[in-house]
Amino acid sequence: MEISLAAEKLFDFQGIEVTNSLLSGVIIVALVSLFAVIFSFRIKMESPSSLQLFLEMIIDGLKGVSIDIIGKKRAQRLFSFVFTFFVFIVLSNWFGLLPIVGPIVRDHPHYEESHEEIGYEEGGHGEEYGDSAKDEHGEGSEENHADEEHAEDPTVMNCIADRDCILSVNGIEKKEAFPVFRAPTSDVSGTLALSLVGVFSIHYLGFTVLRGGYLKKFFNFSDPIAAFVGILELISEIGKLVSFTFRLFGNIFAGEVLLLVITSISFGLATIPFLLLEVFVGFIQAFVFFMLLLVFISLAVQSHDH
Amino acid sequence: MEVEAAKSIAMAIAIAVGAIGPGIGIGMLGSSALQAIGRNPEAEGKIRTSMILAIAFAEAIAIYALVVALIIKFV
Repeated sequence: MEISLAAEKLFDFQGIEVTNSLLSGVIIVALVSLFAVIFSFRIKMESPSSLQLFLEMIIDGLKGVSIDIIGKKRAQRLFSFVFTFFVFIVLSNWFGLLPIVGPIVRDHPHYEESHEEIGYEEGGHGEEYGDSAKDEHGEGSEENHADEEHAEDPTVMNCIADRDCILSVNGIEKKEAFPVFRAPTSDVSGTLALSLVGVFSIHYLGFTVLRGGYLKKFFNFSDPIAAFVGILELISEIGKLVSFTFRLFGNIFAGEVLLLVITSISFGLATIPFLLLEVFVGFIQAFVFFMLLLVFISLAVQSHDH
Repeated sequence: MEVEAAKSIAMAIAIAVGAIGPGIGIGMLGSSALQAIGRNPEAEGKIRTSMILAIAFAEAIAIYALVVALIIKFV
């Protein structure tokens, strides 16, 4: 049972490492955009379809919550932007529960380059061949000089640098095959990206509405207490970044680990309660991100007089 | 002591101690929210929303501890 904190690289695209979570994120965005464009032509006022009613229910519910929190005028302007975060996060969280995420695996790309004599193909065979490859390398310790030659081989160094192989006492050991799809929010890169955009938008909207007055929240030298509060506000901006990132990452990644452990120690229907728990947690975390971003933006655009 | 054994013990201690504070905090949040609802049943929606927000903040601390535990074991 191999759990990897970092997302695994699938291939390089013009200098960008495309990982399994990046691929899944792109797929989610493409599907949602396609759905939104197609569905926008089918909105009817007279006799709406049940899908339209369901989506309206979600949007109205969340908009009601945001009006409760930040007032009607601000909700009118901010809701669509923050709702986009909610849609992407909830779909990413639930994406990790789909049956395509675990079983479709492939082997680490660099391992194939550095060990061509073991010719196995990608796909579902990865795990079976993985065991036989380990057996072969158990005997590789007798061929020490061959390993030393390999150790200076640039493809082997790439393999180790990209975390595809491990240099151990048995020689170059391959890591187990990894899944091709992975929830984007179960990767620190994905949640860091979301929180960077969110926190940047807080400051951007603060500047847009308040112009120079926004800086007065952080750098207020009228009296020492206000200056100290300003410094604390700066520190809490870092805290927002960290907390947005790790709350979402921790919940979703720990959920994946939990499902992996439960699946490996039990079988069949016993995993159903945990899948339902993950559905619930995914929704709650998206909702929390939505509400926190809404509250922080509304605090940032609020002038001191209120 | 072997590295693997130390890692397992460290991971267990990290998450066990890290869950104490948020557990107490979430319990206190829930109890005060319930008291507030009991006193003023009309404001249930607003109270529930604020409670969920505050619980998410408290739970984030437990999640930090969990992430550290996972990093100890698997990295």
